Amino acid sequence: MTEGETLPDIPDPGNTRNQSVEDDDAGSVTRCRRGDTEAFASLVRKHQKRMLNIAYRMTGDYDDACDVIQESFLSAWRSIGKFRGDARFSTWLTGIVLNRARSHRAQRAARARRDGISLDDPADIASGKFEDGLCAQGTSPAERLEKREMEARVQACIGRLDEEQREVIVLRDIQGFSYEEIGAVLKMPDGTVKSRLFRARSALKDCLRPLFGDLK
Amino acid sequence: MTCSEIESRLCAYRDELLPPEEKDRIEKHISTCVQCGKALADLKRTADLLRDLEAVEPPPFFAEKIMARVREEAGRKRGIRRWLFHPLHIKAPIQAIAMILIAVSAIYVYQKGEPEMRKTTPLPAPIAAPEKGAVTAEPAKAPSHTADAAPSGRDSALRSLEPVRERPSAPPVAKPGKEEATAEFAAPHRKDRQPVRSSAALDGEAETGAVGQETPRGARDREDRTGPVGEAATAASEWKMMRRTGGIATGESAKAAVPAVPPRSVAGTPLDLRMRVEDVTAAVREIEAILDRFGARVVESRRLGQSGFMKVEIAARHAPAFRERIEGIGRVDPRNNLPAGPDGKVTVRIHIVGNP
Repeated sequence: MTEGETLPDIPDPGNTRNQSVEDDDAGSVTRCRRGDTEAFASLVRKHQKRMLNIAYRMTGDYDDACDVIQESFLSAWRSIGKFRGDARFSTWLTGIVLNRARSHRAQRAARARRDGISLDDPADIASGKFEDGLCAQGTSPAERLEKREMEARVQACIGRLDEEQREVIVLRDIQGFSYEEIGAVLKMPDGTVKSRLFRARSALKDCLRPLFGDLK
Repeated sequence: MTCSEIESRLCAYRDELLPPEEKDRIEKHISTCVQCGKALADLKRTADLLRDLEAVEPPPFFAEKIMARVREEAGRKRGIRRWLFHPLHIKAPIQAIAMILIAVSAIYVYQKGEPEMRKTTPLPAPIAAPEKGAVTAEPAKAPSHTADAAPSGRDSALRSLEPVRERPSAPPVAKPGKEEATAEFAAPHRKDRQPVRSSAALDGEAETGAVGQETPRGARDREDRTGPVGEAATAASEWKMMRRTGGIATGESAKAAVPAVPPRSVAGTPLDLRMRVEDVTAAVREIEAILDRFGARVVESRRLGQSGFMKVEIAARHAPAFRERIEGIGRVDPRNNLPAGPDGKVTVRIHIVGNP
């Protein structure tokens, strides 16, 4: 399948293109436009975790992801007056996060080229930054270590994908966005989203294939 | 359907996006093809790995940190707007009145300010060369600045701080003899009998190197023009040429320019000098002491805040020496010297500005 080829649009169970956009955040957004910071605080609390995970999978670095999210929310606050409400607030915010992550990663790549460091080095997971979360599952240390290594390799493979392929993989296969939402975020038709996603999965499968023999 | 076609549709198959008949064909193929079956299994494992990735948690007080920045920005924006415009019905008229006051003040300051703020300094008027007898060959030592000139200088300095008034020139206490003065004023001049160029012209020569060898004809023409009027016209034309070219004219060009410049009175257009000094009061005192020595007449003297203004009449032949002396007090602009002239008076306006 070539880059420009798109799959035919097939009815998607999650496709709500023809429905009116119903946004749970519409009321808060209206208050934010009037300068209500408390309304914006509620939006931050609601969306911070999901946006942080998107940024983390896009950048591959936890601290960078935190920076990206802070900048993204600040940018959203500054430009909330321009948000027309023709998409969900979460969709609009995801677009901002992806843009910020792109520019952040570009800056980091330039810095890494200068310093001779690999971008795909999953330092956070390997260094045990998320040990607390894994301990909560009640697994043994050996299992935790194995899972951590596996996550590091998966993240490394995600990091090796093209920027566009990584975006659709993160949004669809990790965050569970519908094709319509991804199309709205990336401003592209569903067919393009699907073809890009299938190419991304194929590339990721090829990257992860050496791991499959180790899987139970 | 070939294996590669099947493999390209496996993602859509797994997401259940294919029509039923195509889905059936793929299932039949996979049941018989080990390679395609393995590809589908790998795809499922990839999806499982992605799904099982651990979600990261925001750091503690992450939302609070974000909101602190948001509130800071919101407060800054609101604060500027409020500071500028609220309440609008009070601040708008105040701002309008303030603008009008500023505009009126600016116009007033411009109109009533120091003269040098309003007009550019006119270029010095041409001055005729001194009489032939004043030109000597030997550079002589300058007259010593003796202490006996000091009392007169102090008195004149005190007078200079008074309001503007006319007063006669004070007689010099230690007036140098004629020979001494002649030697002093002639020091930078040439030895021959050619009409003396102004020291400004000589400066221009030294700086620009624009002076060529004078042609014999040019020199002869100069010598032919005898008498004060002719020499004055020559010097005036040279001065004019120097102003045009930034250097000094050659003999030929000077000759060509002579008819264009009518002879002018040396006491006609005043010369403007601008001085920048550390202490205006002390500078005025010293200038007056020097003026006394040359027998110059102070026409006007006044003090304007951190600056002073003096209008003096001085013998044209003393003008270059006067210029040299006052350069010892502070920086003098324009840099070109006062032109030397024949006997006669030249009016010099000195604007003294103190360094901030």
